[in-house]
Amino acid sequence: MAARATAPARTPVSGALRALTGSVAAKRIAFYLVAGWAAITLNFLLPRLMPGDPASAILLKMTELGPVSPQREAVVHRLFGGANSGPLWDQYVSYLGGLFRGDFGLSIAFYPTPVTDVVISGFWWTVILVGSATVIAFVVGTVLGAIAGWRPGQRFDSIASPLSIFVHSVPYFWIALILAFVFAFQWGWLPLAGGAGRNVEPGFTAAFIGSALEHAVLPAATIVLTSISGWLIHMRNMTASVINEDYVLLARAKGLPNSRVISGYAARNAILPSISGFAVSIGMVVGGSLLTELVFNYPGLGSLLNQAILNLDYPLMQGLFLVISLTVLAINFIADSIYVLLDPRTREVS
Amino acid sequence: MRGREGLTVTKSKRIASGVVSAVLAASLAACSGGGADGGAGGAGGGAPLTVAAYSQPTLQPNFNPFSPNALRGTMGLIYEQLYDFNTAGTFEFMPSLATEIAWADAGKTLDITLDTRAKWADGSPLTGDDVVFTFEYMKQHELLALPLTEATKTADGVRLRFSEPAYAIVQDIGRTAIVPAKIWQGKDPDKELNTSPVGSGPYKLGRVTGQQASFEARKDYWKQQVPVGQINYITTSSTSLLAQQLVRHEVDLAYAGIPDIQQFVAKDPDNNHLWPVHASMKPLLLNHKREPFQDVHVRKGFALALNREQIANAYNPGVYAPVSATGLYQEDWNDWIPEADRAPLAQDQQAALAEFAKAGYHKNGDQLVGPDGKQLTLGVLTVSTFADGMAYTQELVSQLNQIGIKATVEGVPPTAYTTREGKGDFDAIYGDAFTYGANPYNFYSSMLAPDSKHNFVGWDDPATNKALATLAKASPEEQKEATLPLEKIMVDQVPVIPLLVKGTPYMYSTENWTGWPSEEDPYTTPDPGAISGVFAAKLVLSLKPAV
Repeated sequence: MAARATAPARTPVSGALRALTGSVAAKRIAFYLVAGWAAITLNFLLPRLMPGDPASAILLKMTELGPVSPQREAVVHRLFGGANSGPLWDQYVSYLGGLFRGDFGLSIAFYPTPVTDVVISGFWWTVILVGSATVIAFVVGTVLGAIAGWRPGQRFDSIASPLSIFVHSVPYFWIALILAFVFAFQWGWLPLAGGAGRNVEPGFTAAFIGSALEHAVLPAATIVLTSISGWLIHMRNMTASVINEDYVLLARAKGLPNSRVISGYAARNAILPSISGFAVSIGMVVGGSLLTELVFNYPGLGSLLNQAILNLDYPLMQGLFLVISLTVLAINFIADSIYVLLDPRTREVS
Repeated sequence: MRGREGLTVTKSKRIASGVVSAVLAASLAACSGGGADGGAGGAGGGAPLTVAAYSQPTLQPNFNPFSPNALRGTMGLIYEQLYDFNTAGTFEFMPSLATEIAWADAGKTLDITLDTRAKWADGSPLTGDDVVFTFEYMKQHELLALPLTEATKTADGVRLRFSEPAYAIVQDIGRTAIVPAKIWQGKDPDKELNTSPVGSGPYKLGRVTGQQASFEARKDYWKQQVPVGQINYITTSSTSLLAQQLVRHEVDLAYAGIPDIQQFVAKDPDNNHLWPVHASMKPLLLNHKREPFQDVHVRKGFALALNREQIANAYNPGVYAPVSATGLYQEDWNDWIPEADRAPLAQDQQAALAEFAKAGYHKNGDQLVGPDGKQLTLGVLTVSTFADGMAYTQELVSQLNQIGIKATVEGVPPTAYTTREGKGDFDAIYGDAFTYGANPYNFYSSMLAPDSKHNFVGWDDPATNKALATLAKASPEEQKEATLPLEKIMVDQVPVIPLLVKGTPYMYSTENWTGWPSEEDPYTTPDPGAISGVFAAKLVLSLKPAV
């Protein structure tokens, strides 16, 4: 069997190959494999284009906080001075080897804590906070957009649309600062910063969950407030064009109630582009919301990324970028597959 | 409509809460870091002492006293060092594990007397064996930057022998944290996280969450009753957040430069206090490898052209202060400096122009032009992310512009800053601080020694090297005398241009705890253990609950 496959029987093999590569699924899988490799390689190269070395970065930070004795300086140079040495190719090979073993090395900023531990410590904070805020913003924004687009130029539309364009153009860290100043500093309704109460022991307890929720309100509100308008405007414009289509007219002519026409006919078609946009933003969730996390001193991936960059922590940067890019790819792959199921037209084209 | 939108947002928050609570359970494992037992309460009472100890947002547990990333509190609260000198006061000896030290053999032998009461947290005594082990362990793992040849046990402590006189590095020797031999044997100091530390200090580890490390007082601390029951070292990612936490009394002690620092005191003058501690000097560094900065007259011209008082007042007045031309701070090192050189150099534009003239630079209209007819031009490199450094540099540059020099601020990110420093790719630098110690040896050698990593100006002068070698070997009694040649070189040759003494702005609140060190009673530096564990321990053992 093996002999036949290698030597004479060329046609059945290449035929099978063609059948395989010809199929939609195989094409997509191949595309994602290439994209994954590109992401992994860029992820290796980009941090190394940054100037500076970790030892000097760590020392600069230490001297800003207080005097550093020559003795400690010598130790820092010995530990981190050669952190990025050796030929690039050798580094690349050992990096790839590490990836397959799930070993990202030791973080420099938190040396000698393994990168995996550091990434996990921020992962859930970010995924829960930014993930839920993104879903809320999408749902609320899309519903409001459909309502606004149903009667373009009417009262709701003429207030909601300009208002959301205004909110959209405000930098979100500024909104974060304002929210923190008003609700936490001036009125003291909500905590100023942090992921949970400092004296609350992390655990599956009512006290901890309550405290974490309290701390999540302001950062989540920041993200929701600033991203809701994008969905709203997009959905409004799509709905406004869809309602002129014949099938909507037909639905109306059949005497269906307005709500049924919006949800079953207009919105159902208008929402398709938003779905793929939603997939992208869900993928981006793991990247964290850097400035929001910084304003609220939130212990998520955005904060970690900031620390990694400030300390020139290549291993941690690699670990974070990899998690981000692979999640984007994975979510996109899922969304692509679902999209094919949702929209019959995409199947016909391919 | 506005109301309706508001309604949806509140609703969305509620939904958010639901979703968050469902999944939060998963994060619990992630955020509980190391930490030993979480039992509440300690020996002392009162409110916990909260210290803004970190400018980074998150922490990872690391209590290895040999790691550069050890969390603060590792030194001083958990592990104790031998001794230190009070650099905030009159450099007096501060005992810790050692009660006294004595030099012998012209500085090649140091006898350290240990406190016989000292005990580890597990109840076993801390002996000379542990001290000898610590030194040998550090030597074996290349952690010791001291010329130590041998450490031996004596009747009442240990004897350290050095290959050359070690007077100058006496403070570095004292800051060695002693670890128990029985636990550290066979551990790799480079890879160890030491999440259940056993030390001899007044505190044991409480809990580490991603954003706070807490320490609990030991009831059986060998030296004394511990007044502060719990200490929390917290993270604060930005200075604006820190300012808010300080005003709201969420933080008892902080030491990062917040904008408009005097406002913090003005908010509550009875409770809020500021004490800038001067422990290092920030000069203007000119690159001697570039024209025309190798010319001493040009450097003197720069030194005379600047108004140090005005530069110090450019950001948070009262925190930084003008410094004498020797580089030593005249308030703290008064009797080390010859009287004529004590006062900081005053701005004198005529004298500055006279010095520039000696180097061939003349005023042509508004411009100071050289022999080649070109205006004197330089960029001053500084770190763009430090608001204080940028403000001082801008003031400095505008003063240079007044005298006709085309100076510009080159604000760059920290990483680019260190890279360009290392490569010598700059005209001038403002931003590096040089630390004073118990004696000025480290201060001058890191600035002027040819093999120093901080000698960015490229100073290499036989007379300086000889003076440094003499100071390194000088006994404590001879040190003042041996420092004079270096001070003279600073004044006459101006290898670097001393501008300001850096004030670390320690801000503390007396709402919960009193007994803080101050200008009037500088018994220690209110440091959380970033500089010295002896300073930190002295502080927390001296506080008293506010009544």
